[in-house]
Order: sequence, then structure tokens, then C-alpha cells
Amino acid sequence: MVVSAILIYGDRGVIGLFTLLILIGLLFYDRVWIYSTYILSSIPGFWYAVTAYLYLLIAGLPINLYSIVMIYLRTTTYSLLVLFIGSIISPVELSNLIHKLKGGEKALSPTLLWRLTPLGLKYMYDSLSIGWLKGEPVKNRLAPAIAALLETGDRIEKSCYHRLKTPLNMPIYRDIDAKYTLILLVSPAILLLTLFLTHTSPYP
Amino acid sequence: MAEKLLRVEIEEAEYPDGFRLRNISFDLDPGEILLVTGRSGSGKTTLLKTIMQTIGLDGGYYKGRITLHGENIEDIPPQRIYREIAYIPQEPWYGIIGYTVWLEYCIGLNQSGKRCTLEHLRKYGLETIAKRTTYNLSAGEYQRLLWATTLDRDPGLLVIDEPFVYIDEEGRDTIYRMIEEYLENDGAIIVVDHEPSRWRRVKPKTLLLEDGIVKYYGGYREDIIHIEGISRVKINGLRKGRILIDMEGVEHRYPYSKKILKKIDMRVFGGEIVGITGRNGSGKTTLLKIIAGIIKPLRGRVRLYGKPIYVPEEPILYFTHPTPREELLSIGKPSIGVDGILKIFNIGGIMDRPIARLSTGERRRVALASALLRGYEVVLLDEPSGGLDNYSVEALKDLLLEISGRGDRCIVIATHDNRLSDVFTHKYVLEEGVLRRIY
Repeated sequence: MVVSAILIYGDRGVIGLFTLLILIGLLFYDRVWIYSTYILSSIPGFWYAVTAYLYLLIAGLPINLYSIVMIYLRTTTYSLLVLFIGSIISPVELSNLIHKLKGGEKALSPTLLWRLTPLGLKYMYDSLSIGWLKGEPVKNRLAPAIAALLETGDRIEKSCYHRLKTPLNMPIYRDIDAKYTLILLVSPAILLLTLFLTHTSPYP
Repeated sequence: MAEKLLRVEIEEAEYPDGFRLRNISFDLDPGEILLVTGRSGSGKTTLLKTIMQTIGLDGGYYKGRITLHGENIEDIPPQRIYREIAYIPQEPWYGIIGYTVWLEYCIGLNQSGKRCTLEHLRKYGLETIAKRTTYNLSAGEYQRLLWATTLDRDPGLLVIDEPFVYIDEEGRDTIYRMIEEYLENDGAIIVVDHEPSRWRRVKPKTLLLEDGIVKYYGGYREDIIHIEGISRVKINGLRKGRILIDMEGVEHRYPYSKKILKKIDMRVFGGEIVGITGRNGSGKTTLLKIIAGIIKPLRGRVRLYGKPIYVPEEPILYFTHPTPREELLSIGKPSIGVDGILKIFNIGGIMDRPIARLSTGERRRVALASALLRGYEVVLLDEPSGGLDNYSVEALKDLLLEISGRGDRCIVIATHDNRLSDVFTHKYVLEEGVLRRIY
């Protein structure tokens, strides 16, 4: 619903952007999330806005600063949207879907991926930090950090050898949190209402 | 005659690097426990991998016959092996595939055809961390989670490698009780442990290994297992040097969690070996990382008057180079002789072996040797005795005294291992975020 609203009312990039920021803030209730997702999604927004500006400048075409700002806002909104969708994907639901599709032990893959990615990144971070303590350049440290990440996967595969070949017997029990469901229902409703009101207003 | 639960007849089991197990036979009935003990490198973990049929994943092979309920284990599909045998590895974080505590528990039970409820986790003291992600659990919390999942799956046989390395005293008592209950309910256990005396009260059958062969197999006997001839370390005569660590009012919390460290004050001087103990998840590792400068504290200040190094509980993260030789030679011109260090740390024979093929204990010794050669003044060690037998722990203590003995370096150790206590010049306990000095 959020996606379609933003696509339909794309001109009002500010509304989409702030809605997403509020949603992320409500769902993850931490400033770190808001800052980090906004900064990350601003990178492509900033890039597209600057390149459009430079293109117009070099080509000698008239520059409309409003359009440049809109390029930034819309690109940032779409990037934020991708991050948002990524953050609300449930690996448990993916596993249950694969299980229902008779995927056998492959149903464990989403949860295993969600387990390995942060663990591997944490090990990479620790490895790079120790490299920093040892006074080694980051470029020298990347290979061992990646080796540590690969070994993590390898050791989990060996330690859980039989388990990873054992399929689920039933869908995984979902610990549904009513709070998230409520936020995801109420927020888009408010968004749609806001868009509807602003769309019918006499202002451009 | 009824079939044994497990019958093991191994003629030989070998790795590509030449290590070999020979002529190992034993059997196990429901309700029995087999304790496998011996020095580091005697083949205990290899034996478990052979039983679990995973030796081949490391390029090894075995000759012989292993049967489960009379059926050749090679013919049993992995799904059935998972349901009937639970394996708890020495490094517990490698035994987890769920990304939250709750999910890991539920998936494990699900694969065994059982349903999970939050009530069950309460029994193991895990309900408060049920929604936490598993990547930032402490080693002890990993262990407790594995135990909870394993015991509630109710397999007929538990195969456990060094189960108490990362568990605090309170957690150990809980697990002992569960093990006794499990045995009373006709469960069987094969356990590898460097500290056999812990198992005395369950009267295990005992298998003593030495260099891949059986030195003793029979009932529990103190005289066979008692380790003699270990030199006791002396900490008298240590020189106290200048101040190296000065912490004041350090506080920290992770996102989405309560404060893990509250107003920590600590001063450490050269020549001191400081031990920090505390329950699983109490923040010991975080404290070490804050001292090292890897984590910035929320409040307070840490002043270091020397170069720090942090050796994590998973020592592979320490290394930059693929072999010990390259790692140690990368230092350039060390201030002390390399030959002497190789002898002290007993790593001469593994200098050209890839670090990926070294055991955790060997990796830890190489990391310590490197830290000593590099001349760090503040050495921070996270669970340094994990996976080490009593002999190796005594050797480690000698090494720690060697590092700190000159008075210009200090060592801070986060550990649950009481075997290290006699080298601590000061001991602290971290409880509810507060660091309290014991002595």
C-alpha cells in the first residue's frame, strides 16, 4: 500500500520520504536506525541530484533548483523504500513458504542466511579492529577478515551437518507481534489519507 | 541379546596431516555415560567426529564399524541421525542456525517433530533473551541455548565436546541437574572433557586417550585420570610497574538493551594479571573491547599508557597471515628472541601448518606468542583457557607470568575458568553491570 501510494503520488516525494522515516522510527524505535537508513539512502539521491545539476550546467540548459531537489527527494525515497522492504522481510515466512512448496531442507536457508550474515560481519568487524590494534593497513587485513567470515560458514556447516539435512516437520511457529501489525496498518492509512487531502487541495 | 544403543569399533581414523586414531572400541547402553578424556591433541574431538560421521568433511577417513541400535551408522540417513543423536560442538556458536534465541529453539524442536513454547525457555533462564539476535550472544548464552534445544529435543544420545568451557558456575549446576535427569530417563551421553573430576558424581565409564590410542577404558578411576607432575605457578616476586590502564566512570549499553556496564572504575599497573569473572552475558567481552578501544563507551573515559592488543575467544580473528611462521615473522625485528618464544609456547612443530588447520588451543598459543613478540603493553585475553587441558592451562599460566613478569606489561583476562585464578594479582566480578573487586 505504501509502495503504490508513493509510486502514484511520486511528485510529493517529501510525503513518501517522511512516511517511511516515521515507519522505520516506529518499527525500530531507535535513532540509529533513522540516521543510518537515511544517510545510506541519501547517497544515491545525492548522486543523482548532483549529476543532473552538473549535466544541466555543462549542457548550458536552464537549471531549475526545485527539480534538482525533487530528484534528490524522490531517489532517496525509492532507496529508503528498498531498505524498508528489506527490513520487513521475514525469513521465518520465507522458510514457511519454502516448506509449503515442499522445499525440504532448503526451508532452512533463509534463517541460516539471516544468522550467518550478521555473525560473519561481526567477525569481519572484530578482525578489522584487531588489525587496527596491530597497526596493519586495512588492505592487508581484508583477506583474513573474509577468511574468518568463510570459516564461520564452513564451521557451522560442519557442526550442523545432520541438522542442515533435516527438513522442517511443520511451519515454524510465528511469534506475531500485534504492535508491528498495528503500525503497518495504521501508518499507510494515514499516508493515504494525507495524500488524498493534499491531492485535492487547490495548491500545486 | 538386546542390541547396544551404540557400538564403536574403529580400526583407524586419520586426517590428511597424519594424525591417526587406532583400535578404539567401546559400547554404550541407555542411561550410560562415557567420559572421553586425555591431553589436548590426543584425538578426543576426532573420535567424536568419527562417531558423528563428519570426519570426511575435514578430508579424513575411518576404517571400522559404528552401529546405532545395531544398524550401521553409515546406512542411517542424516535426518534420523539428527533426531537420535545431538551433537554440541566445543565452540557453541557454530551449533546455531537460528538468528534469534526463540527461533533457534523452535527450529530445533520443529526438526524433531516437537512444538515450542516460551514456557520451556523459562526453565533454562533464557526467556528474558528469547527475542535477542543470536549473533551478539555471549559464549555462555550460546551454550545454554544449545543445551535447552538439545534436551527438549530428547534425543537418545548426546555427544558433547567440552561442554562447560564457557558456562558460569550457576549455569553448570543447572546443566548437571539436567544431565542427571536425562540419564535417569535412559538417555546416553558421550562427553569429552579435560576436567574429568566434574563427572565423578554420575560415575561415567572412562576412555583415556593418548596420541590417538586408548590408554584406559573402564569404570571411573581417580588414579588413572588424576594428573600429576604439573608445576604450580608462583606469583611471588612480580614487579609492579607504572600505570597502564586507567578507567573512570565507564558506562555502556547496546541498542535495544539495558545498560550493560555501569560506572566502571579500574586501574591496572604493569606486572599485574587481572581476572574478570561474571555470569554469561554480563559484559566481560564488552569491557575488554572498550579497554582495547574497539568499542567506544557511552560515557566515561579510558586512558591507556601502553599499546593494547585484544585476543578474542575465537582466536582465528587475531591472525593476518596464513601460517604461524608468517604471522610471527611479519613482526620485523622483535625485541626478544623468536627461538626462545617458540620453545616457551611449544609451537615449533606447527610453524608451517595453515592456521585454518590448527586447533583452538594451538591458535591461542600462536596468538599469545605474537602478542608477546610484538611488545604490546596491555594484553587483553577473552577466555584464553577455553579448550585447554590441565597441562596446557599450567603452561598458559607460565606464559602469562612470562608476559607480565617484567613489570612493563599487564594482562586483563575475562574468564569463567577457576584454574587460572592462582595467577591473578587482582580478581574482579562483573554483576548487573557493576565491577566489584574481590581481591
